[in-house]
Amino acid sequence: MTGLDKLIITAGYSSIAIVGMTKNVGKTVTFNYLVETFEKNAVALGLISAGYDGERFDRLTLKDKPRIYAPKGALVVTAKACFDAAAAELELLESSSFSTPLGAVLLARVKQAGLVELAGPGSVFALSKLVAKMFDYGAGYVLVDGAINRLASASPLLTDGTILATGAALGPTMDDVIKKTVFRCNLFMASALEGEMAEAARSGLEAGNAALLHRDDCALRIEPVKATIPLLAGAQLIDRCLRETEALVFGGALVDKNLIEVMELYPIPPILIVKDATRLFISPELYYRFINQGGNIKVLDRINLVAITLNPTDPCGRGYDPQMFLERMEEALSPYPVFDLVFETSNYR
Amino acid sequence: MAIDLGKVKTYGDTLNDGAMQVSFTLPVPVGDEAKEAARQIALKMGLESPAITEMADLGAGFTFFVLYGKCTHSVDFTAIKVPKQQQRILNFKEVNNLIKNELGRKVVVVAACTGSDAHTVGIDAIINMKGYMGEYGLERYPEMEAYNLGSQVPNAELLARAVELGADAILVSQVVTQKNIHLENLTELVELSEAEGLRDQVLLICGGPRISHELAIELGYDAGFGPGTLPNHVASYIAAELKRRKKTGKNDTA
Repeated sequence: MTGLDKLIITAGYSSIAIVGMTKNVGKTVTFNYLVETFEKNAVALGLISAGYDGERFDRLTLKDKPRIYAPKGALVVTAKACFDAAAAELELLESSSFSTPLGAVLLARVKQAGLVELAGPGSVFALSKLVAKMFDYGAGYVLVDGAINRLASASPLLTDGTILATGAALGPTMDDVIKKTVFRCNLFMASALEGEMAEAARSGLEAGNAALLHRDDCALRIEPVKATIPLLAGAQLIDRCLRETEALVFGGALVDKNLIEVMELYPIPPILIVKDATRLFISPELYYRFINQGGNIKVLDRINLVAITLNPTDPCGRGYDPQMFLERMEEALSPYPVFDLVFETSNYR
Repeated sequence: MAIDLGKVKTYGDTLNDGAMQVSFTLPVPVGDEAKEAARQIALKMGLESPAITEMADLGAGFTFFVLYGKCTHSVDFTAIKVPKQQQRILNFKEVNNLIKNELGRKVVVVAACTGSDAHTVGIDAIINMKGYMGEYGLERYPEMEAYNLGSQVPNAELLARAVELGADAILVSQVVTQKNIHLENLTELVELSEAEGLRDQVLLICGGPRISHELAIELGYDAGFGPGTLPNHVASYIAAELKRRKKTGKNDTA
């Protein structure tokens, strides 16, 4: 045991998202590792994918992929065609209203352990409905396997805890991999607002899909902005900025353009507020410039990053010495625990 | 002779003879040594009695071979299970009738080549009025309103335009190479629509030479179309899925 499962249990998380920095960084390896350890602890598991997992080969590189072995008693969510083709014996519990190109999304219980392919519904809304269903059917823990570089399943609306998988496939050099991973962790670390400003931001988003918070004397004055989508409302914020504006609230995505405009307007920018870190679509260069200029990004709901897992090899190219890679990553990502689950190493205690 | 599906072998002249033809190039100059090298490769591949029928000098020290051999391997066909997509393909008329009768309004489709991609051949074949291979494009469908936004459209712009136009479906065309750029551009649209709270209000469909339904699911799209797709395949999917969602009320979420 490396302690990854212990971390989850101690923190009291019951739904875990496994998201990756890109393809082939070991999301499914981490997923399988957790399936195995939780099974040993005799915990009923719910297994679902935000994409497609357990496939026989990679649809792009045609290389082998890790399969998914579902233990007896586990609950699985998958599309009809995968249900029919599963090597594991599955008992149908319920058919959901969600659909994929491989048929309706079904909820099943594993009668006889074996391999399954998990094809999930893509949307966070559908995933959250199905995760809740699995808890209703008695799952103790639900694991949501991610897809490619999609992070939406880390949304606090869906899961309590998030594990980030990263690895050699992310970039041409180890430094590059570290830089990109640290950036993502920095975004995940964005702290949650509390008190007066959090309340003001929330009520601003109830009245519109973006808002400005101005400081009048002592109190905060809320100016909601409404447009067809939050992105367009966010773009209008800049024209309404005042000297006494203390924060800008974005109801949807925060994009590079927002950062550029705010940095041009203010020597020291107001606080930028988003719902959670999955709404951040900003590039590292601009982010660090913004931070250096005294900027601050806050979230209403924080993503709980449990740990980072590593894959030191890129199936399409280079690989690093696992021990060295782990040490470099631990140093860069401290205080977050870092694991290499294949070599079963971590300095985390 | 009955075929033993538990042990299927390649077929040449007689059942289960295992015969197969392979061709490949070796980076060695043409000659007897090259021929022997080719024979040894074939043996290592599990081909018995390899017979080289063609050896051609490719120049610059390369040699091309065609050879026959008997493959010693077999597969258990009865144990193979492949998840398959099931979709009924309707023709031009049927799609329009379905939309008219079941939805009672025009279906709005917005299409683009996104990010840095300028390969519009695929999306044009699906959208343009004149269509492709004898099938009219979506612009010709009387029950559809199709907008082709062209190439190199940023994801945020595509999303904003789609909302403005009241799109039922967004079609994205992308040449996915092994480099992850295009892939991550496809996932960004999904993530952006999720962040904007639009993911359940619009069908996201991707297409391109490397795209399959499985990859589409992995990317977070509702459907994906690969090579050989005709406009009515896409139209059938959109019409049928909108009808299904109308019935289950899945879309009334926002």
